[in-house]
Amino acid sequence: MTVTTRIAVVTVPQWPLIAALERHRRAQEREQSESAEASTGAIPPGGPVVLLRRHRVIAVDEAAREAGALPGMRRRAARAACPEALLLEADEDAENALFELVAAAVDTIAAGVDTIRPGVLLMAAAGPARHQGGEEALAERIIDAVAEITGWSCSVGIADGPFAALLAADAGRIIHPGRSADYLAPHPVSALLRAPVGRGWGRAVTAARRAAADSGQASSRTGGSMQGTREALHETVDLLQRLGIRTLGDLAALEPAAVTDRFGPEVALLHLLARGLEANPPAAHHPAQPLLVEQVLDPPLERTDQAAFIARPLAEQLARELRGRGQACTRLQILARTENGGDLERTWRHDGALDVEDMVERIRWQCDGWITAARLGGTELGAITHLSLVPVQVMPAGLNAPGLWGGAGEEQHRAQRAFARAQALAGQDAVLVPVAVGGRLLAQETRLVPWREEKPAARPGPWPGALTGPTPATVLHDPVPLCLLDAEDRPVVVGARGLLSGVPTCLLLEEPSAALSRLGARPGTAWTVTGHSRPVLLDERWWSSEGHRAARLQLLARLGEGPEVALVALSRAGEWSLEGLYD
Amino acid sequence: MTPTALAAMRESRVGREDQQDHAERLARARNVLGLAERSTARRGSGIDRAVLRPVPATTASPEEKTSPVVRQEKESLLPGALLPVPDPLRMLFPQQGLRPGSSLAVTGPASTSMLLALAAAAAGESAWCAVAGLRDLGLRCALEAGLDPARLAIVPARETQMPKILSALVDGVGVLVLGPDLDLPPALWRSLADRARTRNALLLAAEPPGRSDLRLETAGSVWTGLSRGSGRLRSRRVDLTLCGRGIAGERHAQVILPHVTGALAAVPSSTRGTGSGQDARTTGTLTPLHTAARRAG
Repeated sequence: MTVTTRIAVVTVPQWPLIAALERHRRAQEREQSESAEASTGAIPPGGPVVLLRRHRVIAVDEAAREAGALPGMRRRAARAACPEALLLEADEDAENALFELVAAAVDTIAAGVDTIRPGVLLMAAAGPARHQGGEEALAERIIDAVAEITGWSCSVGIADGPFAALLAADAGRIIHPGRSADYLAPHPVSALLRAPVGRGWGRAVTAARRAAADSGQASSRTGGSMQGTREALHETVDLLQRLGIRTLGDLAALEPAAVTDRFGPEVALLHLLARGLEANPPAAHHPAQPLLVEQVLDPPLERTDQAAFIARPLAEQLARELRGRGQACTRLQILARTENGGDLERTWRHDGALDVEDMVERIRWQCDGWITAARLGGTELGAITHLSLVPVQVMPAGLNAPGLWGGAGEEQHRAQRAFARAQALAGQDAVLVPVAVGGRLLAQETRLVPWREEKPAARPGPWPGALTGPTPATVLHDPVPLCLLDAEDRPVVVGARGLLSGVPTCLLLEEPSAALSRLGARPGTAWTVTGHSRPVLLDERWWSSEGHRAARLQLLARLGEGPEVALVALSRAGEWSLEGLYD
Repeated sequence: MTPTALAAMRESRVGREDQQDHAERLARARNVLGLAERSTARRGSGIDRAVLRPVPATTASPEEKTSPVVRQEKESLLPGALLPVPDPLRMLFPQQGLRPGSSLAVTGPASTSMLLALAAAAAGESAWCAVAGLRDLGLRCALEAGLDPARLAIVPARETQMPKILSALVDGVGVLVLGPDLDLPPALWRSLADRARTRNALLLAAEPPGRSDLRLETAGSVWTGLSRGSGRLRSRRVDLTLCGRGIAGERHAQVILPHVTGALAAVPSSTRGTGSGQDARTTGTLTPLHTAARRAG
């Protein structure tokens, strides 16, 4: 419970305002591109902007603040104070979606970035700082990357524990190790309003208040929403202030057990944060998206960041429909139609059920991969104008129980994301998994299938003649022709009775092979054969007309004075080829 | 719970508990947990089995406990802090394991099988492994070396998107094997090594174009079991030389790779130290094989 790690927090100041302005700008651009008359309703740059949520002002820019519009005002009051201001409605989902860009920018510097809420990113600082050569350098690199990639300015704070880092981010400070509690202590207790707690926080507080008020007709909000968390935090801070706790230091000075007794576990979490500690490692926060579904993409999808915006509604709708039927999707087809009428499709298979997040990631990576590929390989397909999802395979929901105990497959999750990413970049064949199917030849015993593709059924043996014992580490899928000669330079062949025509003493390589050239063998080099096994006969499909007879020979060969190399050679119709190499 | 698990549990209960020491009971409990877990898990690899792994008993003498240097070394030897190496190689590596986030270059005539053996040991029971740039990898050999096919991905060598794919993989997997077919540019190798360091991924590379933390040279491979016209390839003795970070000079070892089972094994103590395996082959193993071949006809 009381582990503290170095945490870096990246905040974009006034993020809701920036996001709303960005959204507004995009809407304007779209309108302008639709109606040819330009620049009728363009925003004056730097003009006063007031952001509203539920008819209350939640954020204002500098110009509006000077004019007298303040957060907490009603819409009418703000209008009266600053009539020329641009009034924008806050949209949490757009804030989240846009913040992906910042997250991606930070991701180029440090991995494992968690979004606490739009505007605030959190990550472990120790590894990246070591990599960048110090925490100052890390902060600089992050600020540079965000400015370069997204064009927004951000600030970075690094401290022990997330809360101190969050508060330090406002001032762009780096708190020395072990000094977080000292840094936190003078802050007013209202700083807890910005505490890094997840969206589930505050359920108990809300429930307790409801029970106390005994109000049967509950308000419409749900405890799990960001709004509910915010209100619960307000109530808690209000309560603490009424009890005479003014600063975080006052709160931290309380006995932990007493806090838990009096306020319950959720406030105990705040108490822990106020002491500069950390309850548990930051969990990923995934925002919900509006229910709007737009499959026809107008403007068409040309840039990779646009994919982030369209993916979630599609996935949500699909998930909703699947949920209504009590099903989970295990195989999803993502189809895209492009401007020039080309169709792109790819199928994604999942061992477990694809949830919304999985789908969104896949859509996004998919579009990302396609767009990148189009940019690299020419633009004959054009931009994506239509996107649809087809659940190819469904199964009853509830079959995907997680593990009983242990780390719940964090490593698996990471690996699967990486594989999915690689597949989105270069197609399904970019990541393959081996399946043992069985067969006589080494190259046929196992097969490679794309990750999450259906695996071929095993062909149970017996496979007489299959190689036993240690198997070669290199198996050539394109056989390399060889020439085996005996002491009198006559070719060695396997006779009808399964015997060698002579004792092989010399091995000639006829074509270049990457595996052999690593050992120093070039076409035409002669190897001295120092040992060989008896030929093992392989009667492939002797019962049918396309049957072959083949013979396998294990060889030990030496190139000059080099080390002994063990090979497996295969003879078919009198021609030797290299099947495998023990390297 | 399966009958096997119940049987193991019952056995642990009725067994002579008074004589069992603590460590034994712990190992038994871990075993039962593992069995139950395996019988209930739908997805075989979705669970971190590090907690079920038996912990090696520590035998620290009192004077060791007081020394801060030794204590520091002990701390870093906590299970999970280092990735395991095959048992016969433990004394070869500094701190008897591989540090996550480090890189190891493997060269020489037995490099591919050595890469596979090291990857299988390091992947252990929970980590995922990706193999890139081994175009003609013998998959059966990889499975015989101990790699779990459910946690293994093969990436065929491609030209255009390879840097991006490798970067994505190094973010995700615990062990990344880079074969010789990749032709990595030095800059890409450096960036992969940096990325691996931040993500705690182990990089095993056949022919890295740049520096690596450790460098393992395989040489002097000597096969046993095959003579002129009879026998079969049974095992190979390989000389290993390790140098790099944490090692003063070089360390040498000799192992059997592959063993008859395909895995890596220690050199039997009776034949250890004989300079070349040639003697052992001509004197020790050839004669019985030869008679067996005679009789086979």
